[in-house]
Amino acid sequence: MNTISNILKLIRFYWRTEKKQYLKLFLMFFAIFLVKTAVIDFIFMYINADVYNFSHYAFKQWIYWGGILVTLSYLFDAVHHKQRAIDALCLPANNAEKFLSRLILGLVGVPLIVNVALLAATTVVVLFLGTMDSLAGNQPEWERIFSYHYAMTWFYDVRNALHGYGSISNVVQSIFWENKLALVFYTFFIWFGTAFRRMGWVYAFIAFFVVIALGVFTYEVVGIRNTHLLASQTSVKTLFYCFLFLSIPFTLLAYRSFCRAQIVTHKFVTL
Amino acid sequence: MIEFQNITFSYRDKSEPVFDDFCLRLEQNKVYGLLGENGTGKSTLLYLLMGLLRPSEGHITVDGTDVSRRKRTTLQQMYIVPEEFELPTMRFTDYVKAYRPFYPAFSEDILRRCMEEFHLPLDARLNQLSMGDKKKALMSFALATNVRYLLMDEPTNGLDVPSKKQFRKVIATSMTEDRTLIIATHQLHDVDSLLDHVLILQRSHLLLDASVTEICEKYTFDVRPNDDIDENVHYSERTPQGNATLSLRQPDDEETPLNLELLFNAVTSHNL
Repeated sequence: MNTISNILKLIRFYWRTEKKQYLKLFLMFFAIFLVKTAVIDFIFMYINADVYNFSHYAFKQWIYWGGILVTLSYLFDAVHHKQRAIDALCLPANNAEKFLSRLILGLVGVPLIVNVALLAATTVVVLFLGTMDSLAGNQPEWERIFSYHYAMTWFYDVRNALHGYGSISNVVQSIFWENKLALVFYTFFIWFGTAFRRMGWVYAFIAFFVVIALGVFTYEVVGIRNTHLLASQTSVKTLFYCFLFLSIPFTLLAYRSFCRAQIVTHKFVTL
Repeated sequence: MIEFQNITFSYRDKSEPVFDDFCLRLEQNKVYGLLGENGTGKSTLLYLLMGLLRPSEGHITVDGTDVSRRKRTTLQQMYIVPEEFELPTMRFTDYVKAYRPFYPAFSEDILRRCMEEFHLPLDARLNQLSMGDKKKALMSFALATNVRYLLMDEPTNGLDVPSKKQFRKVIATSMTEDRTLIIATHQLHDVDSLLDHVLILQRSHLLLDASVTEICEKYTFDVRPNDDIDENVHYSERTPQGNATLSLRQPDDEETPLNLELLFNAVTSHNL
């Protein structure tokens, strides 16, 4: 109980001292989504719907997920700066409490900010440009963009659950991670961001592509697809849960880096 | 009680260790002056004590607990005022509201008294304060936490002359019986009236570890003319008033106030 109350106390503390950073983060994502929706979507939608669909897909992959992952890699960034590290590490709370409170804030708060920014930017664009567009007598395509973006956010799942189309578990899953595998990537980026002093997300992306390349090599060249491993649905499910299980060692490695953080660290890594 | 047990520590980019098999024991209820030239390891010692740096060998314990574990119960009893620091962009009252829940013995009275003494408003905007005023605000908060071990790294750097006087007054009035204060500084004049115990570091070794009482019982500090330098004088320096001397105290000599700068120069030039 004591630990839980301390974690809640820390979350309140981080909110009180860092709310301006969260506001800045929201404004940054809001601006990115605003420009993307008002300019890129607008152009592609009128040129070709297929191009728009591709653009939408790329947007989701790179801005939405990329934004969340890069932001999460900065979750424990304070330990890499001498003066901020003194403040962060000397705060009277156990390492585990500090780590967990930040992790909760990161895994819930960062995607929430990105979701709200996406919906807010889309709403602003649709209200403004959509009105102008319909006044000019054009076919209002903006509703389509709004529904696309809306469907990407948590609010869509919440609405579905409220109207009885979805389950509570869908909402919880949506709020904590859009799909289960996202947790693996979240923790992977948090670990790299904690372990590396600068630009941990760059190393994380590099490592991510190396792993993907190895996976493709194993699948295609070594011939894993011809083995019994992927023959049944159960095997695929097992592989899926094995991959999901990786989020535990990634979290533990991030925690280890956080516990071992010192104010004067190695030039590149937290040792 | 604070114990450094056979500490070895070196920075990665330097071949020479800062501390090599270093031992030190600090008792409670005292004001320690940690003195030394630049680069002798004063700040490093404070960072090691706070668990902000990890020794490669040895242990540092505070009341029997290893500080490298950075446990909540240990950190609740310790506070460091670093030489350089960042404060969040907010009002001081909001800063206090955010940080005070972590210090169970926090005293609003001490905070108000210290801020009054420093002529700072409680609702000051931290980003609009000068560096000296920020330091005074942070020191007020540090004293108000009522922690048992308070560490200050060059606390008078950046303070003007009246502020240094205010600093001495605030420290003198805020020292309670169960509190230990460690002041790392090379501004000797700023702290000499506050200290109970003097630690002098040089090249990672402790050259002096003695209480002010012991020092004043053993030595006298006075100014003598040139023709009055006898064999009892261990160290002397020419000053416009004559020779400032550190002499072995004789049975009939009266106790003199500590001249910290003279003592420091005598110790670091190996004349004591």
